[in-house]
Amino acid sequence: MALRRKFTFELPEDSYWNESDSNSSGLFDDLQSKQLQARAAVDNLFGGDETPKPYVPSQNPTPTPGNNPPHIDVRAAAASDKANIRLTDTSPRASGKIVDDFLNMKFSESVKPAPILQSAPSVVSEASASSLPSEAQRLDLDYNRLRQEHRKLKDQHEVLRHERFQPLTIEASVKRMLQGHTVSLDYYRSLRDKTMLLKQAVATHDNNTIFKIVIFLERTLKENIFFKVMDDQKSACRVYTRHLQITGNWEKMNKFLRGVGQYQHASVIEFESTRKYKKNPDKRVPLLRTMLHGSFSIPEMKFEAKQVETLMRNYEIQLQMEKMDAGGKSDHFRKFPKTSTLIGLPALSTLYYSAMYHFDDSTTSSGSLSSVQTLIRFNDRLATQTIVSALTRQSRWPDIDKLLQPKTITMTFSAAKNVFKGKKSTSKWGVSINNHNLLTIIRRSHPSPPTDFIYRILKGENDAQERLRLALLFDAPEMVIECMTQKGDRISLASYAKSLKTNSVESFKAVAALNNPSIKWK
Amino acid sequence: MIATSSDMKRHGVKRIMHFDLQKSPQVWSIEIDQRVFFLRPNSENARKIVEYVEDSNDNRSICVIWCNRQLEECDLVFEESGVIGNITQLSLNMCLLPLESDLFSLQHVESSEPDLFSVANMFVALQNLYGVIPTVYGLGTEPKNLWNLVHTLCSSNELRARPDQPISHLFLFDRQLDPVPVLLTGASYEGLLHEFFTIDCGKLAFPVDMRQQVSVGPLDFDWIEINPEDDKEAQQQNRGDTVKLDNCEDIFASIRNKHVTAALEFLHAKAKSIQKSIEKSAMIDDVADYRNFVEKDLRALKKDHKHCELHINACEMMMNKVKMEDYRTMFKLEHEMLLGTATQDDYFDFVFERVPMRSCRDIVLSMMSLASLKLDGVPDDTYNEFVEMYLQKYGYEQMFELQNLRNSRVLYARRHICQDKTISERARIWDTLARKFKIVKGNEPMDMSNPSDMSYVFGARTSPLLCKIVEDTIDHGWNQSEYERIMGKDKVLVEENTYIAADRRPDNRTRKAIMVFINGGITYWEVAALR
Repeated sequence: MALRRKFTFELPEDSYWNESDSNSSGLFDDLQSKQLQARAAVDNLFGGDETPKPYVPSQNPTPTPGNNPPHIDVRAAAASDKANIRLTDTSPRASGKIVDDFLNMKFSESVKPAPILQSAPSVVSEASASSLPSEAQRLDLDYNRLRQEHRKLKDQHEVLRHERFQPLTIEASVKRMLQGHTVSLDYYRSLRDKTMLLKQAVATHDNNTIFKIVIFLERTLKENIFFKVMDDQKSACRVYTRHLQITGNWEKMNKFLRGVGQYQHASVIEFESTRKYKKNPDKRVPLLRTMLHGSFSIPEMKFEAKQVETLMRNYEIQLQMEKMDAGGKSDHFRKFPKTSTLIGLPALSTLYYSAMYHFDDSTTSSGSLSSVQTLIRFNDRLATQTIVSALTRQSRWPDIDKLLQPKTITMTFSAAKNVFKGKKSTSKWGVSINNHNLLTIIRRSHPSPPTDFIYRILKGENDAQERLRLALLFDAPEMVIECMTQKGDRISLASYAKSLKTNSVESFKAVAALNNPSIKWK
Repeated sequence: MIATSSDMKRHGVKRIMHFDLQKSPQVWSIEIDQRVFFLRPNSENARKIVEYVEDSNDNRSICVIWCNRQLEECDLVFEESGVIGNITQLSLNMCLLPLESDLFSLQHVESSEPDLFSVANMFVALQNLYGVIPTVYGLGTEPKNLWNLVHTLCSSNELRARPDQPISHLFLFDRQLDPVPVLLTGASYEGLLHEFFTIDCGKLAFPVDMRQQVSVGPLDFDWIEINPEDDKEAQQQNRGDTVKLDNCEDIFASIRNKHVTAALEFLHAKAKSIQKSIEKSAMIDDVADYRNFVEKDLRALKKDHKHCELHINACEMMMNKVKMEDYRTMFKLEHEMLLGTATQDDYFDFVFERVPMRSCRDIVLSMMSLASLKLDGVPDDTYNEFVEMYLQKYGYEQMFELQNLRNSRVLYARRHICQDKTISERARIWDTLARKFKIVKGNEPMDMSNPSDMSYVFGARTSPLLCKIVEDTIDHGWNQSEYERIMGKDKVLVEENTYIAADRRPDNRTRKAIMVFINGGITYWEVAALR
């Protein structure tokens, strides 16, 4: 292709042909300059740079004067590339001859049409301008030119052929790769070369280049040597693990991480690889068990191992509960329909489920709260929050009251009743949960919690300022009025009363408080 | 963003389709004989393309344009499936996309591996256009590598130094240097909008009914697993019209960088003035005058009114939400943590209380990360407790994510430091720099509507570190030796392509652009602070 390229009529360096062609315009007075230009072009061609240009596969093969439309089709380009390769596949000597033949043929092919193209204008120009070189001179010039061209192409071809068998330096290869060219890595077979390649690639900080090299190394090196080479290059390791992660090749990744000494990460990866069995404990639990004895047995992973154990227990409970509720058609299930399976859900979901559907079960039942809590250790507050939320959803206010009582006080039924009626001061609310949080949970879990319930929770707040803030935030008018009365803040109470719905119970209360003479206003 | 659909139609594109990984290849219609895919290079997309190729017969051609560059991993997928010859692959090198008149983005996909190459490529293109950037400052390992890569790519074509360089200084930072702004919640209006509604490519879809959002939160404690896709869909349904947010709209332009309270004040004032002009119109008696008013002002007024209402609603909604989630305590604790005065018990108590609430998941993680940065590793037992709770709530599958956070040094326990000494380097550098620039403020009061310091974006608690460095350089010049002492020699980059010494402070009189590039993304808080 490089050979054919030489005779592109559009290229500036071949402009000689074009120039004489354009003479047909018949601008005689311009002939002199045209001629000079042509000569300059020829001089430029011969005297110009002798160093051959690097081989650039041109995407646009020259249209021969017979004129097929210009190919943009890449496949055609590839085909012509192939022709080029076949040319040099044979031994250098033979190929040299082939090339010469080829060249000759090409020349004869492509030179011939040139005069034809020219013939029409040349009649005009020769007849009219005496200053043009004579026919003999002209032929001589053409001949010289072609010979020069031939020599130049030959040199160029020699260089190219030479380069074919001369591997690029490693730096150059990597740089080419960086620029997005294809590079043959077949030259680099020694381990030293390969290590150097990797090092150079890492130095570019370009993930794509690193990836190309790593894949090449992986393909051509034995596993243990590959690991050893990779061990020194952290970023290469990262690129490779990312690739394995994307392709989902967990097994290979696990092996690799172990190979480069990242045991902790490896065990987590091994755990991660069982994720696909999330809803399928029959398959997952045995795998987890082997893992516990295998990769999770190193001392650094002791804590994580404990988590895996908990996960296994979680599965155990979930399986039992699912079995229990398989035929669950009771009212409760109808009221709060179970929309998905419990299996594979986190531990707190199990707890929530238990509070939702098995709150009234006896403590010996495997689905009851207490048995869940004995099998899995929950943070107290976490558990309370979850259970409160589940109970709120079922509107079981007395049970929440009971739950929120400090555990040390064993409550009698009547005491609970008293608490429920809000008669006793309940300063011991929320041992572990602060009231704001508690209210947020309740508000989030229930569309309209009873106001007296909120009122009682607020009553438990010791800090008056905070109590007012919460009351305003969670919309408990009764408490707002009470707080403001206590503070004696008449102005804000008056403005608050205005914001209440007229003729509602609350607004009457507010007005009553404002009219109450016994309150000491500030 | 690159070409409108009408542009593409003009060039003979018959149909534009959305590429969906979930769906199976569409059937070829008869009149179409070429398909062009415009995709991000990743193996998932490549595998899908393979399906398309296998589905189509020979005389149809398929072309893939990889957005940014052709990657080996895609080639590998093609090669393995034996389709590499049947696809024409091209790559389109994306340059900076303008989000604003002063904010540009590469719009990279979020991934664990930064794509230094395309960033470097972008800088090469930029310098080709605008000449060599005279002064380049960089802090961190990545900027250094990045700039080396730029040089390697440039070495093939020499860049001319143009006399009229519009960019005079370039700052290159690494997000790793100052992760704090990512973890905190600020108070500038635009930043808050992003926090609650997510601004996407300079556009934002407000929920249809903002008041409704307050009461209907996600069920925090329900045992049913929430599919994030469903969540997104629900949000999508709730979305109203998309609003384009940029400086073209007056109201937004004037409040975007303001502290949210100041913004609200401004909005109220604006609303009143609009009301007044509408009232004034009612008093016009002359018919001609009235027609004039309707023709000229009414539409603008109506538009302003609509925008004003929208922003006020958004503001109020955000304020309500802030109240609900008890952001006040959070702000206080975060501030104390940064000051170093927080009692750890209080801090972690607050965090742990919020672990089981689904809506607080991000807050919990970012607060833990903040503690991890400031304390250089969370105490062991706290870490264990946290991980246990977190796994119990969000599933044991999260172990992998937590491990990743640890590997990227975002969230780790003290005991991990013994295993990997380099892990605490980031915390150390951040601490030194933070102390040097005194970015954490005490409880000094500040006038939010007329702030004197960039720390207003975080409610006068702290200033973004990187912005502070830029400010310091503009005021006092680049302090090379100081940075080298703190960061280590191989992490500071200074390059001069001009006769002006690099440590001279930039001349204000020349009024040239100063470009700040943060590898890994910038937060809206920082944008506000820089403005």
